[in-house]
Amino acid sequence: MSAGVFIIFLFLFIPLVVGFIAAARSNNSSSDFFIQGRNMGSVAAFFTVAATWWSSFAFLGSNASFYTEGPVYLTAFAWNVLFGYLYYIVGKRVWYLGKKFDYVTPSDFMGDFYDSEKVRIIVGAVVTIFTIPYLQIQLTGGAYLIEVTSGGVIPFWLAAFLFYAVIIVYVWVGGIRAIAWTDIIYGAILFFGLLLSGIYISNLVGGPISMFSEMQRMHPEFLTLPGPDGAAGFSSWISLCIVTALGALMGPQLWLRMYAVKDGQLFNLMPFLIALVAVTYLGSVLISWTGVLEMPGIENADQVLPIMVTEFMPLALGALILAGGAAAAMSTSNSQIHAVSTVITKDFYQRYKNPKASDKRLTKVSRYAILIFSIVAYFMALFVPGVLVAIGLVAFGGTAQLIVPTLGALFWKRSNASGAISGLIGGVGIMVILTFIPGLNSPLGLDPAMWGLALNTILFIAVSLATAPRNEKVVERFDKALEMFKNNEEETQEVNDEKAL
Amino acid sequence: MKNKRSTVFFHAAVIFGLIMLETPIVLLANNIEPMIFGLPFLIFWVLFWWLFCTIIFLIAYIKKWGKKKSIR
Repeated sequence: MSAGVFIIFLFLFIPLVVGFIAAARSNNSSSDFFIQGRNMGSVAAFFTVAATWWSSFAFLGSNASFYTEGPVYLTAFAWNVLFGYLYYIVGKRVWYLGKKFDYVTPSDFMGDFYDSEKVRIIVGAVVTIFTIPYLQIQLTGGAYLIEVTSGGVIPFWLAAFLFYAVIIVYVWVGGIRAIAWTDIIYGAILFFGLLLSGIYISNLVGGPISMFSEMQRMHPEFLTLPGPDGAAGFSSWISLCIVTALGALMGPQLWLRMYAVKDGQLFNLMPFLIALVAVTYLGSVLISWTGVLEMPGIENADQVLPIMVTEFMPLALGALILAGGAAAAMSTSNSQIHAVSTVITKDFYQRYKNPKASDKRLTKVSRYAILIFSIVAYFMALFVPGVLVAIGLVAFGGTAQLIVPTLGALFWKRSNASGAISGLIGGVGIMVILTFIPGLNSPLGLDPAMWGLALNTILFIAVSLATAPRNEKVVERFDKALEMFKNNEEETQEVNDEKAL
Repeated sequence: MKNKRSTVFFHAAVIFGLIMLETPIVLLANNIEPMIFGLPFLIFWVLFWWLFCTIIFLIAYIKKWGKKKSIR
């Protein structure tokens, strides 16, 4: 398996080089470290958003799901459309306001709009707490793939350690710019890797078309909802779509990527690009259902992809694909580590402990936050495996709750802090209760986060209406800004129309 | 006037595509037969509406969204 080890080292080495090149371009300000001075180019921005959004959950989880649950993961095609659409509708406005009022974190936006320290703290806490378990899953998944690719030469603890070490070094030196640049490499391997290996592997049974007809003959139950166990029907279909799209969109790593963008034009093209890359899920369909035919009975479904690839593909190519899987985990976790350290530094350290901290000091604090945070996650990955998947679902559900106050801020003038606070507490609360109290099943088979969103919305609207409106000055300031945004969007259209005439 | 209408059209089309995919309507397509282009019908259905939305996004960008002067 020396080819595998070689590819892994190459794979760990290249990001380091790219990280140092990126660092050389930095101007050492904290804004550069956190959000690249709002100056990120469109290509880098697209790849870093797409690769960040494309995590282990998609790379390993999609295969596991098709292999055991039938077609429910096909809902991913819809969630990419939804995610892209919201990135245009919500993301562009958040970017605009961020530029105007100089926001760096999600709490900056929420705290300022709702004019409340409490909202600020709750939002900061939600994004930090719910990112940790999700991060841990990425790291476990990535380390696991390195272990398999190396044929067991690199044990899990060392794989996880290498994984962290590389990420820490290049994030430490290069900040978000290094992440975006490495994400370009990760993204490319990822998108082509999965699709190509799907086509390659399905050739085992005579190509995609004959794979489907073979499935129809042997295992028709895999081709329709609710799948072979009858467990994954419509309620899973819609829960997965909504919770994943919203949870990912509202994660702190994606917020930073909205602020960092230089040119608003990117947001206009993003829906198309994000929807388009969903085509890679076809790779998962081909790999896992060929697996159902050729390799039934794999016990740990998360291993379907690595096992199929190592079994049926040439060594070097297979290792490259698995490295792509580790890339999926890396490109998500590097952004998460960076985003959470930014939140801790800006929202907690700078705001409450040392408001007069110099720029240099801020960058330094956030670097140490990265280090400490990663060490905690490393030990959690080593010693608390297993229950993570359950916690991971809560993680997405938790950040997804932020969509309610965000939409409120962008589209509803009457919304206020009490509404946002009670909505968030109620939504997160009911979700945690439904998930963790044994014997309590979520009604209708919907994911607990869906009930969280429902309660969140109801409380948000009801409490907002029942309590006093926000301070008039703040309302006016935002009103003006959003009005300006709207005019800007429409005016330029007219200018263009005139040009066209 | 035409301007306004086409704006609404793109949003409506995308939302229509999502409705076809994410409401119980999808259960009507929850069959293997008829196979289309060798794809089981459910898969064809999902791919069709996904492609529909993707193309709408592209047209919207070319015709409309991408024509906005960039705000920097």
